[in-house]
Amino acid sequence: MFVLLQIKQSGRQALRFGILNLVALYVIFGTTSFFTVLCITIAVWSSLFVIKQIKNSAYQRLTSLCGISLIVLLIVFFIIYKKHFDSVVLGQINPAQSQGIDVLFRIVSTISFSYVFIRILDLVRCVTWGQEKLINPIALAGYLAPFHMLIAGPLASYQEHLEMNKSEPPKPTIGHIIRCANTITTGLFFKVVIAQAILITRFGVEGKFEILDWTDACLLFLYLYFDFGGYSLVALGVGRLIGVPTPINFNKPFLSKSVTDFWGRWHVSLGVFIKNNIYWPLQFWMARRVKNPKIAEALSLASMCASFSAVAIWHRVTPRFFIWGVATSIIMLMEKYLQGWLLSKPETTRRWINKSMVVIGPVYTMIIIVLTIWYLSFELANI
Amino acid sequence: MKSEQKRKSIIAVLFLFIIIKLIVISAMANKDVASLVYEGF
Repeated sequence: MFVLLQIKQSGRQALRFGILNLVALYVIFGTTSFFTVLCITIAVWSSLFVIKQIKNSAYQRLTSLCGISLIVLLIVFFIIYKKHFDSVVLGQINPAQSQGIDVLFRIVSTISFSYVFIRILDLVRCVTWGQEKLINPIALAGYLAPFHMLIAGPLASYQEHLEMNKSEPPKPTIGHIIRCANTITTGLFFKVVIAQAILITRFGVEGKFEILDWTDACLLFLYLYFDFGGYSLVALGVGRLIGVPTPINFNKPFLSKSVTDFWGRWHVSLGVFIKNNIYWPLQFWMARRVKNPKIAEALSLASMCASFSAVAIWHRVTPRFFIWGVATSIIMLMEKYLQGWLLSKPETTRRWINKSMVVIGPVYTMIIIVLTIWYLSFELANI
Repeated sequence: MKSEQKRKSIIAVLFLFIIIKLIVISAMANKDVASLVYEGF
């Protein structure tokens, strides 16, 4: 009765979606996943509730310590489970690895599910160091494990999710439904038709990714775009249909003029998360402590390396991914220096270089990206 | 063309586009459109 009364009140979109989401999880993924999500949400909510109480008490100075401890604990869980178990999805473990696994393990293993892990980190940051309020556990389950963004993102930030409470859901007009259906079917077309055609044509019906030369790397890149982009479009369409904040994940990545530009267009929501939770906090922390501009520049490289290493480890805890992370951050830093050098040139030279970059930029970017995909092909094929 | 007419024609084109995509997807997935829509939505 209490829940029904709460739903009827305005500004309760997050709770409404939380209930819908739990029902959807139960129907789509089954009882194990339903209870796993409930348990993990209650555990996270309880920890943050305690942190909130500490924040509002006389022991306020312990807030950061509690927040950092929680984050470290989450990262340790994530790395341990990610290292040993490949296919832990909401308490459901690969049958080959599930012997002797108890209930508690299944629940905790949910943390290692990449997208849930990232959402928990964003939530901890917002509640511990930000001014965002902690929503109730049912509504929180809708943020941590939204059924339409569970398998392949995108990642809505906690702030974006709270925005839902400030506006009423879109009215179900025919135009709105048709536009959402168009996005969903385009996503399905990308995934089922184009990605599948690339997979079957080049890599066979069983989809064994054997990268023999650069053309295979190009095809794997196209396959990843249509497969992942397709999933993201389906999620975007469903999210818009039910009025849940669902960010755009791919913004015409093939038109990127540089590697820096590319990472602002490819998996956009992960990029935003990394900027908000790793890059900017590190930059601000260092800016407050370091006054020497040369040391600050070196530390800027360090925070970029840390950000890309985090992206790499999030994908898979392997040395190859780590090297990719460091190499990408070095390329991006070189581009930053080149931009600075370009600004020191006369107006006419700048204009000429900018014009030529319209053609050269996308070619250069695609070469670098295909090379990195070639380097990572074994890892990407097993994600 | 009036804006209302323009909006309606865009919706009609999108609708047609959705149907075409569904037919192609169902052919690729080897399922009929009705069961695809039922499973998907």
